Amino acid sequence: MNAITIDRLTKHYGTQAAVEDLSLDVAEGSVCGLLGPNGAGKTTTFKCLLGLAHATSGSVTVDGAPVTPATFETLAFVPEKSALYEWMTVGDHFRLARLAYKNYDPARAAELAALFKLDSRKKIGRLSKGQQTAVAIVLAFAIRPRILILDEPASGLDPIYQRVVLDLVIDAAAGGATVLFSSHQIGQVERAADRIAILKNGRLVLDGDLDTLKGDEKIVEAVFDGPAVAPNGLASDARVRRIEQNGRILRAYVRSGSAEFASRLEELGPKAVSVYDLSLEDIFLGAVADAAPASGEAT
Amino acid sequence: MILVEYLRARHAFIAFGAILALIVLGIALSVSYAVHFGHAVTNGDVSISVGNGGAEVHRPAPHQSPSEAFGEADFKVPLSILCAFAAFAALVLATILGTSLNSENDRGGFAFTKPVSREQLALTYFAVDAVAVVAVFVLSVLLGFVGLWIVGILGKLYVDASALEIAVTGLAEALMWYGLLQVVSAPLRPRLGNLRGISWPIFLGLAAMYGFTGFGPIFHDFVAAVDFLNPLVYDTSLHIEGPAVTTSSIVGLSEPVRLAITSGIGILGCGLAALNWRRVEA
Repeated sequence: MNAITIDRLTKHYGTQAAVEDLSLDVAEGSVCGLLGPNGAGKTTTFKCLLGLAHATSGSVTVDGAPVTPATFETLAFVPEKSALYEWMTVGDHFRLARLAYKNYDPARAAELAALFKLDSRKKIGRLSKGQQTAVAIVLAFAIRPRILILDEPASGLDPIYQRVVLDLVIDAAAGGATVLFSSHQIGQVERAADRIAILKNGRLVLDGDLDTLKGDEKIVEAVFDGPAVAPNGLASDARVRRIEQNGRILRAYVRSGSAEFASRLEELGPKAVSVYDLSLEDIFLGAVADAAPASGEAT
Repeated sequence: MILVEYLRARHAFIAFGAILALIVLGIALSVSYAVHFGHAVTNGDVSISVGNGGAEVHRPAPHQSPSEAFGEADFKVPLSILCAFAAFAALVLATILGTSLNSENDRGGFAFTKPVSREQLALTYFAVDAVAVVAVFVLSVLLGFVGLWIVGILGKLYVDASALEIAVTGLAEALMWYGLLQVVSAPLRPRLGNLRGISWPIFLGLAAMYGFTGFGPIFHDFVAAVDFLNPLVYDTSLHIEGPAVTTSSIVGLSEPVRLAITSGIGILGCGLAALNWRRVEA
């Protein structure tokens, strides 16, 4: 069953399309990473999903039903920008959450606050951006949510705490929670997500199981003594999706027969030829580079 | 989310209450000093005799009784005066709290992603703010008692017939101002809701122009029509002559009508604000 279903979602601000015809299903218990360059429509998608922005067309359902206030009993959201009250203390926010949620677990909140070394007497306005993010994270995880929507959840945190947040996400997913999160830290997404969706200019340009996407292609990379020149016919090879030439480096994204393709490159007399598995970064860069801005192409 | 508005209202109440207390204390001490040292009596307080030996200034004897100082044996303080002061204080706090819905609009949906509907949230905020406004009214009356006690004329206080009218219409006026601020600011984008300060010169200016006919009847009628939404034209003014206290208002309507209009507009404003707020995007 899908925990989150986004069906042909479109959101326009005036004449500008922030999200265009986006459809995405997030299965219960899965971790979906939403990637995209700045302005791709990730935050707008989250806002439409949570009812914070009204869709121009299309629909969003959580657990098969439209989002209502009751949905937030089990759905936690961490926004990209701090939404906390600067004039309130950390402790006030914990009290607020305790009053607002039936499922709020004070012991869990205290445990997480200690993990992030948060002083409950401090006012939010006196905390660093990273500490404010940490408070938002504590509030989100202290209700032991079934669904987590995290918009850049590690924003402003140092690498140590970024890892802590990542572990929390993985732990929540292991406990059965559904997670939809965005991050510019592709390494984090790669580690936590089992599914990715990539947006560009408000459109979904790539969507799929991470392992499948990674297994779909290999990178064959050749380094030459002089400027790399792709031989005639290489680009038209049906196995090659894309070729990049950058100085002495020739890099080909090959769908199948990577070893055979590498042998063919060896004949050109390079210094070295290597075959790599695709990383999520390769997939992401490939997807946003390939996608025409308004082509409507979605895979 | 009631905690947020409770804390916000409490902060405003404490800060504003402290300022009120300082003002009352300052005035009371000043008057008290003047009374006891003969600087503020109402008539015959200072006389100058000129004789052969030169000039001599006579002041009333220090430590005279307040009644003597105020120069009237039947001097009394109507409760209406304290109610008018308290109504003004309530109006100021209502203005301060009048953009509480708007203040949630720049919170990235913090309030809107809680398991409570926006209508319920708005009603909660209105209720908390109303309690704070009434509380500051009560506090102001109590501070008035303290001020009179410091001056030494608390015993001269009496409950006049207009006190209730002043209190009720004053609170209704605060409700109207609050409702108008909410309905205008609730749908606005963040940081565009600072209408609180602007509302005072607008309403004062419109009230001042209510009876002005210098620009012709069309302008006058236009101002009068706009002033229908101006809380200040429904304000109850006090006229005290000896023990007699009479009231009037700029708009000249009876108390029940003014009460109905001001409270009606206030409630309608709050209702419309809550409805508009439902559509606000974070």
